[in-house]
Amino acid sequence: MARIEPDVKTVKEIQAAGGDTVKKCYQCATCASVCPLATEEVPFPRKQMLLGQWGFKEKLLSDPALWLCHQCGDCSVYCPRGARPGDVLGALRNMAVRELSEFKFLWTFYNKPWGLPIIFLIATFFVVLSMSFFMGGIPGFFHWDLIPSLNIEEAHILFLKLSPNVLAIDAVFVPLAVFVVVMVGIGVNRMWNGMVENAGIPAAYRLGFWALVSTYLVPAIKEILAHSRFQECGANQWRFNGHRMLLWSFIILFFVTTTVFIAADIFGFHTPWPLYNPIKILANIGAILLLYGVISLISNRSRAAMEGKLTSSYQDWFLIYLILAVGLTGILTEVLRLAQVSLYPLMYTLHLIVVFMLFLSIPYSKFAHLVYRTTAYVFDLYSRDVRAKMAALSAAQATEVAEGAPAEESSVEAEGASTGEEAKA
Amino acid sequence: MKIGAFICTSCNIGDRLEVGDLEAAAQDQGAQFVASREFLCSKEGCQFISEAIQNEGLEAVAICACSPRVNYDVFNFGKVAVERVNLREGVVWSRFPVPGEGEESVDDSKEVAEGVTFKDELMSLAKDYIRMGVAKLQSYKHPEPYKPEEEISKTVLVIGGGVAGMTAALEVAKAGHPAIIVEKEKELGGFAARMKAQVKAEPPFDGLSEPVVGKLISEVQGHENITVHTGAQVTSIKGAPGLFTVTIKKGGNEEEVKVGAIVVAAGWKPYDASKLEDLGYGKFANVVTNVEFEEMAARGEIRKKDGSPVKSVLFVQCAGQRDENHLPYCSSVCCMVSLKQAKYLRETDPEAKAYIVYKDMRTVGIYENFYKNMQNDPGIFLTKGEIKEIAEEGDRLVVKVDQTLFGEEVEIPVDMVVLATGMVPATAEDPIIPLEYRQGHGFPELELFYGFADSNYICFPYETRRTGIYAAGAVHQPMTIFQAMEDATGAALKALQCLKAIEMGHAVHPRTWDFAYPEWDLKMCTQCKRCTEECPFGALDETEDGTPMPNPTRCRRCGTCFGACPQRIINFKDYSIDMVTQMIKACEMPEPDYGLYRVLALVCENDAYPALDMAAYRRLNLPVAFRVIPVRCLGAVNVSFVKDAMSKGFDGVLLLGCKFGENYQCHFIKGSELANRRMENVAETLQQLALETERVTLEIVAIDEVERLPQIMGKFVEFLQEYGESPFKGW
Repeated sequence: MARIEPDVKTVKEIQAAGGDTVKKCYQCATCASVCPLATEEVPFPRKQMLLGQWGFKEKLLSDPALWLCHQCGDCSVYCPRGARPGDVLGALRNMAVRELSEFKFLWTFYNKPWGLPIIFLIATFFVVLSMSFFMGGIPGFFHWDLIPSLNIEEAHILFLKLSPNVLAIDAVFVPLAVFVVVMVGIGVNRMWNGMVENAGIPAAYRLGFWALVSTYLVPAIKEILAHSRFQECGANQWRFNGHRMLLWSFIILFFVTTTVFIAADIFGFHTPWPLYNPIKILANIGAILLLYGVISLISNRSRAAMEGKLTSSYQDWFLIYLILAVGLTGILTEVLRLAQVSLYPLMYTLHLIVVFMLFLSIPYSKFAHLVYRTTAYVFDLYSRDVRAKMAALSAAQATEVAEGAPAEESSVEAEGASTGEEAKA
Repeated sequence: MKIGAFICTSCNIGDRLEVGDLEAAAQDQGAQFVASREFLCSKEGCQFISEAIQNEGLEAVAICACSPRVNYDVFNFGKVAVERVNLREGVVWSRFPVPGEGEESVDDSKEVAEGVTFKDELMSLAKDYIRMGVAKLQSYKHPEPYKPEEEISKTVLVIGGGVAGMTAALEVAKAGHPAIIVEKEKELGGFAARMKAQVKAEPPFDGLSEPVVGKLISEVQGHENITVHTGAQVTSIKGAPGLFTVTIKKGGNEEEVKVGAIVVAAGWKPYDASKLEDLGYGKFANVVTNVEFEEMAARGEIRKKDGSPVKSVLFVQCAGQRDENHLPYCSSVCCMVSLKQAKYLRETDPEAKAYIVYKDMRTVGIYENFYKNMQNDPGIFLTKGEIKEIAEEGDRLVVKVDQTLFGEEVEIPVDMVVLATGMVPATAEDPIIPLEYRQGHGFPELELFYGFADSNYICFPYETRRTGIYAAGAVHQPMTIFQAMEDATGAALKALQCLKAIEMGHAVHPRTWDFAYPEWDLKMCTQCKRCTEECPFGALDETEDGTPMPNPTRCRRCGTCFGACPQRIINFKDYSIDMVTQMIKACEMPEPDYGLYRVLALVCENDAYPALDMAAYRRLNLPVAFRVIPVRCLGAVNVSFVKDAMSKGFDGVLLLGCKFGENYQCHFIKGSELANRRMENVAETLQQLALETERVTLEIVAIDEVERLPQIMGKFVEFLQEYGESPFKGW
């Protein structure tokens, strides 16, 4: 850190972003002691509170601890000063998402109530335009023959035979998916580099992308699927089940969507599929799980807010209600279609619009925790290994020195290791 | 004197003791009327005593029942002297037979020596107590209130015209007494008048307010009972509480006034910052003290030396404080002052930054609210830390801070550094009270409190070692304006209480309502000066030949002089050398080779005696060998008591009193310390009697160390067994 010159503006920014209680902390470290997730090596949230008070944004935003926190609220419940560390870390995560993202105006739209209609309009614009383009409007609602020549039964692109409705979806969601993947990639890359710098991991221990993914991503994902860390949380234990259901439903729906995409776009099995189709059955189970998860989160979050265990920001509610909207419009579309109500294409369009909003939110809203928390898990596992190795090395060196043997061979590495340790200390 | 003895049979006294034998003991000792009855403390019981007093014409009564510390209001018979013989706490509730090996339970019939049962020992203790009580009454004289010949002055002198001094004067004046303020500066107000703002002195204590001092000045100036002397100094204080003659020097004139009591509110001075060169003071222009910064803020000129605006300030807490090389103590206000001054800066420029580097953030009491409020300011940055170095870099200062909360050393560039220097009490260098006392000017031994006019009276915060003189405000302890006002109110009320006590003719403190005072039989005085030197309160002056000149209104009635006097010429009406001698003589000693011991315990009645009572309420077992005589203070133990006890045949003497030295608990400050010093004389006396010096021991016991009493007393008896019986038995 060496020379420091904090900026009052940054502190105000953190306060305004939902960290309004950050300055109340007087560093007693009750939070770090009661936190079920903080470890001796990676203690939080005391230090993060201090960094927040001094407005050290850079340091905070490349701190994996920010994402290792699941906002269970134990710290906020036990804090003797009402500094609500859990909520402050939540606010800092929102800020981190902003800093890590490209096209920051989109973050603004996603994180301010006034941005909601704008995102809705953006999504509507792309979805309706595409539908107008390929399907001449929304069937049963309006017909707008934008380009009559494209109003076709089936398009042939290379060997693919695509129906207009598939085309209409692909034309929007394939570019959207590419955009989101690129944005997420940029964010994760920034985050990773920041964390490696911040933790002062010596060059000798830095690994390439594939090495990291192959060694640490699988155990990280295993932990995430089991929700083992989330389960440690005390004060807000109730969130664990709802959140896990939601995660599983997303996995199911992702699998189903991918399957349908391949089947429809490549093999030409057009939807809708019958209800007894195993994929369809799975999809419906996913939808029910999603609704169950999100509704339980809503009710429990309201209760927790009443009991003062956590405060919910606009960003929290935005994501939850958006997911609820995705679930509801999806189910309603299916129900209306089966009941042969002519409004169902309109409902389907609405469904596509909210799905668009949810998709685009991945790099910009609270939804980003999906990728950033995963990244932090990977980093946590990786840095634990690095620490263990460095400790083993210095121990080995100590014995060598004690035995009087020359330690030249490992001196380069050791130098790296010791600077790393100093930086961490 | 016609003496009656009344023995209560309730509260286990009748169960464990043979009341008939006790009555006989009282009669043997010379009680003219003896009766026993249950529940003496009941309405009927008291009426019984009153009637007996009337019918028999009794002048003194020995109530042989519970401890003198309880029911003292019940056993009050006006002019009739009352002695309380403590049979309940002192005998039946604290002396029990100990089961031997293999015995499950045991009663008073247990044999404790050859042919002696526990009951025998218990009865001999109770009888000794009754005989001692009657003996005490036989030499008791009724104390009369002390009334000085001169007229008592009701005026209170206040030294210092700052917040504390003015508050004290106002409180005195509002109570209807005249007050005189002597202020050495040209204006009233003290340091507070030079401040820009003060931390709020009213709920919710979370912000700043106008200094209260302006309001105080106009109130003081408008009050008819207050006389103000500014640019003046007190040059001499003669006399004693109620009767002081004070000389006030103003310009070239000297004026003598009569005052009754004095409040010292002389305040503080900032610590000499030139000693803080290692923190850049005097080296860099933009390193200033908190006092200088306050004056800058009051002038509205928070600027660097070159006149450019200040955008960032680093406050160094504990600058030259809590540091053995400078001030070893915490001045208790500087954390709040720095938070306040940080607020000044933040109010002048919303982008300005105030860093506070502290050892510990100490915002005393309710001022935690102020800390919380200031902490919330986004421009105030707090960290624990140690200043390693302050250096100049261009026109800025760079402060290196180690041991920070960040876990690493940091460098902070700032425009200005403010050193939070501490408070030095006015009494550190100047006695402030130029007393014309035999023991000299000023308060004695202030080095115990770093020069503050404080005391270690844990229960009596305003008391000083000079009766009638009370300290208030920052000369008393480092404190905030709010605290100083409270403190001054307390000191003013203490001064008025003192005047009232003098008017009534009893002791001021802590023996309020004690009308007895020491009296000298000067015919026998050898001018040894022990009493005048040892009095903890400087109560005695001397004639030129060294004869003591008592000032009863300065006296606290501890009896230290009484203990010191080798000629035994100092006596209280109700507590005399002869009285204790007679009490010791009234004890019955067993024949030689009895097999059991007799120990005299001289017990300080302030803490040790209540502790003994508490041991009884817990039914702790104290050795039956002890005969307890309560004393005013261990300082009031004359060596002759020990001599009397040893020649009587006691096997040992135990002195139980309060802690002395640093953090003393002695209610008379020096009493137990002097008693300990006198143990040398005691040793000499014992050598003259050819006895082992260890037979007389002094032990320290605090009021809450009840559990230690059985050990201390038990060990002493075991210890005496090693030496065997006193050879004086049976003489």
